[in-house]
Amino acid sequence: MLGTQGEGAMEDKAVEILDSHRTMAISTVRPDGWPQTTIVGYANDGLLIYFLISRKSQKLANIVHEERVAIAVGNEPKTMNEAQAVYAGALASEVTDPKQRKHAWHLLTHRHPNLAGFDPPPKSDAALMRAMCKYVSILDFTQGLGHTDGLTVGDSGISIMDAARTDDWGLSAAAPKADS
Amino acid sequence: MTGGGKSQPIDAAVAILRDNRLASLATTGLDGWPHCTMVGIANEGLRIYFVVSRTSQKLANIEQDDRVALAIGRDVIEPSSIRALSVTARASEIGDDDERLRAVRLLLAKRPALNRLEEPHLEQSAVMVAVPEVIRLLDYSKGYGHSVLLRLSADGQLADLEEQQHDWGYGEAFKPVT
Repeated sequence: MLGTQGEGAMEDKAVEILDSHRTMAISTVRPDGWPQTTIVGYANDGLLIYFLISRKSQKLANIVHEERVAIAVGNEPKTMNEAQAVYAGALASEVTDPKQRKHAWHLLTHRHPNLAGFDPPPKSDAALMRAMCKYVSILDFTQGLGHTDGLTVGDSGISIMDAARTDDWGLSAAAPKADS
Repeated sequence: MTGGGKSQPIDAAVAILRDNRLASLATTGLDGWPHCTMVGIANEGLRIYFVVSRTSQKLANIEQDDRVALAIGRDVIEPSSIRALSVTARASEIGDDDERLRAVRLLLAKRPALNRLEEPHLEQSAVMVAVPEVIRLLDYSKGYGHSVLLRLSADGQLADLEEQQHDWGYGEAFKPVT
């Protein structure tokens, strides 16, 4: 399990953002080095993310070849000052343990009511996957345009908090124009 | 089946770009990690415009390797309304002043709220273009899991097209919800 002390607030924020969405962009790397990005439905258990992909998909072939993936979770804010998102580098693998598969399917059907009532698709058609977030960026523009915090989840399970940074694209130097 | 002429799937892809203003953009780092973040987009035909910070990991990655991937689409309640793109493209900073100005205008037109701020300073941000090479066009109104793979020639014309149906064993027909 992840550390729950010290960096807890940052981790809580990341989990809160993950909890409040249900689709994510996932980027994998093809064997030839090209990145590939697609959108998948997900459900998360803390910083562990479950998703379902087609057995025939390029994504799965990519992950089997290279377990390092990147995810982006966020949506269109009404204003830039409300933007919140989680970006993470994560390690992905297929869930094979029957108990964990059951747990993951329960989370997925709970998050995606349109799946409720369906059995998991056959293993021959779909792979139930997990991605464990390792390098996490938490964008929270409610704390200032460009405000980003970072978390690294180490092998020992301890979350290390990186210093907050602000990257404002040079926009914040400009005072907002008078509301028109 | 895909109906219409050769330009029909291209037009459909352009329409999805026009109807969205947020994309997930993946680049690859020198260490091999993929990097995925969200950017505001605008488009002129299939040329996809976005702005990145000069200090961003994205830009550093693109300067090392211009191969990028974008996913464009929205969460939907009704699966048959899924219309999305997964794009493989080459990205670069726009060098031409006219195109850069046009790109900024198109981006601002999509996000009128940004008009309340000054335009990004070029020393701190880069106006980028992604030129697609391969586009997977998802259109579930044609059946659950329906997509078309479009391969584009260097001049942005459709070179090759391949239809695909990935129904995950659920069947491609939508049944009424009971």
